[in-house]
Amino acid sequence: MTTTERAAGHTAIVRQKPLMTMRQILLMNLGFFGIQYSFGMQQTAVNPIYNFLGASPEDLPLLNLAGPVTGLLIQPLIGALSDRTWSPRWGRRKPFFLIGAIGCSVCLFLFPFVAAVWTAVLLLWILDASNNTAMEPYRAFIADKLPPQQLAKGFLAQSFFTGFGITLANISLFVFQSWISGATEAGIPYWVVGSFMLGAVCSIGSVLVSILTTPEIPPTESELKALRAKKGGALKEILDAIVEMPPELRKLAVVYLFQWYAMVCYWQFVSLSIAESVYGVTAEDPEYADAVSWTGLVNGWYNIVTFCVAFPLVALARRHGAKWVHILCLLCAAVGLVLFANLTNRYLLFLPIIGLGIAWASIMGVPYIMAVRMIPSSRYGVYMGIINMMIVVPMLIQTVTFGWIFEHLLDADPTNAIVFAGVLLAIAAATMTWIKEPPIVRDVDDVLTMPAGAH
Amino acid sequence: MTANVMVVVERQFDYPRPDVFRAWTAPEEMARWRGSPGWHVESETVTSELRLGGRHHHVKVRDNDPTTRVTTDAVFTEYFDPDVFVARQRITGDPGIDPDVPLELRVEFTRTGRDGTLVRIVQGPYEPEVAGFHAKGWELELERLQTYLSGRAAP
Repeated sequence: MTTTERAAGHTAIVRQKPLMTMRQILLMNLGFFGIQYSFGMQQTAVNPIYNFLGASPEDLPLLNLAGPVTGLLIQPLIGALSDRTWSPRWGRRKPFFLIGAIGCSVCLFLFPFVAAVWTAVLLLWILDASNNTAMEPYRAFIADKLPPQQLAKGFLAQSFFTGFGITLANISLFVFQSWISGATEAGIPYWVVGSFMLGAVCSIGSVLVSILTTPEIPPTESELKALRAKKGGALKEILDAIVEMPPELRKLAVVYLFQWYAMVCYWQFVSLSIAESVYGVTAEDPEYADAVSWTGLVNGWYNIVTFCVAFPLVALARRHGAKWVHILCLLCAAVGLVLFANLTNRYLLFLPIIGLGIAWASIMGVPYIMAVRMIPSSRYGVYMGIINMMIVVPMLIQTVTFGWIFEHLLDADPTNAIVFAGVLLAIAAATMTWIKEPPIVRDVDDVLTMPAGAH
Repeated sequence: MTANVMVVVERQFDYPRPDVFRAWTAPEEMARWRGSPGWHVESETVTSELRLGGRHHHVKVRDNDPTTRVTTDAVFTEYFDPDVFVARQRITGDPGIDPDVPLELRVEFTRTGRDGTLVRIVQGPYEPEVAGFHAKGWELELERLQTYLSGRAAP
């Protein structure tokens, strides 16, 4: 194709975006709460189910491979497909997160009734595929709906619901344990069943509220024509998007490499680190169960911090820019994790982990504020999928490499793994300075209250 | 009726960012393509101080009726060559725009691919019933920008 032909092929994308009230933004994002509750259950309750069904601990990483692999394969595909979708009745992104939410609900409903490891593995793959199908177009949905001046609010509302959903998933497990007794024939306690049932209701219920209260913006006739004239499969679309990726977005991949590698290190080693530094035990000792239980509280606390700080971060991002807010948040987590690994008092652990809660709020929202300003809106879906690949690839790299690093460089000491995660987050903050953020977009409230500047 | 609609229009151009940014900002260039079909910018009316806080002025005139004139006065509230400029505008002479309610025009230039530029225009807030008209106007103006850039690039 010649340059002239390509130029003629570029279609102007026109959107009229009504400014949304805070209530509308929260309703639009409510579905993210259900999806994140589902993720919370996947993170917290699926491994105990494997254990109840008699899976060996050394098989757990393999049994959990569903997460990164489905994320890698499904999200870009769903993104590319949703970019090409328009139905006057169903919209562009909604069909995908409705199908995803239905899948999540069905899987969460069935999960506690599995009787063998292989059925649990199969359900986890379907659950993860459904989570990915729902989550990816949800980010693109926010970018579709909001004008640049309100994107910070939109994405940090997603951070808020991320923290809220995961916290509630963990709290439900904690509370139901003391309320509900008994177990299924397969040995799965009814309190676990209760949490899964609540998750099944939250997942579909919250997504339905968002779908019914938030209409999508229809494409213009010329955009629709261009959409229908598109040739080539979704795979080609993904490859084209990678080739044509804006340079600043490529740099974000480097930040993500360190940031997500660090997060996986934290999640994998935090309970072992607490066991060693606070309880002076290892995974082989019976007291390890206390460390695991305390880890649940620590993780629950940092997710509470996440939803508490999400909206204050909006104000910071609009004043200082998303880039510097994210750098600051990553540094909070870096300092926090280094301190965390060296504490011996279990109550003091709740202080430095605040840093990770702040960073987690930023990680789930702030980079997207920058990213959507670098990409064409007709390709939000595919690029959100590619950004997810930037998350999943470091996770896979960590799976392959960290065993060696842990053994040979970190003295097989879990507290060193947490310090290592802190150092990686500091490096992520340093690489973030390399990104040239598009200049700050003022929030629309500031624009409307500014005095007129021209005469 | 409340002005609460932001118009967002974007299009990719296969020309480097500095070229596209200059076409938008340099008075002698912008006068050659700005304006919807049936309108043109009077080149002698264009003044622009291309810096933060700089003032901008231009008048658009209907081709077949020079008495129909729309005047734009603006101040650059952001100016980063070739990334973005933001102008606080007061537009008079357009029956669909209240001259007492300032508008914000934000134009972003993002590098895309090897040497392309994604232009994203964000303007508003408009009242809902006139937003579509102005969105269409921008779409047509970007077509003129494409014609101008390809004409300029031709040997």
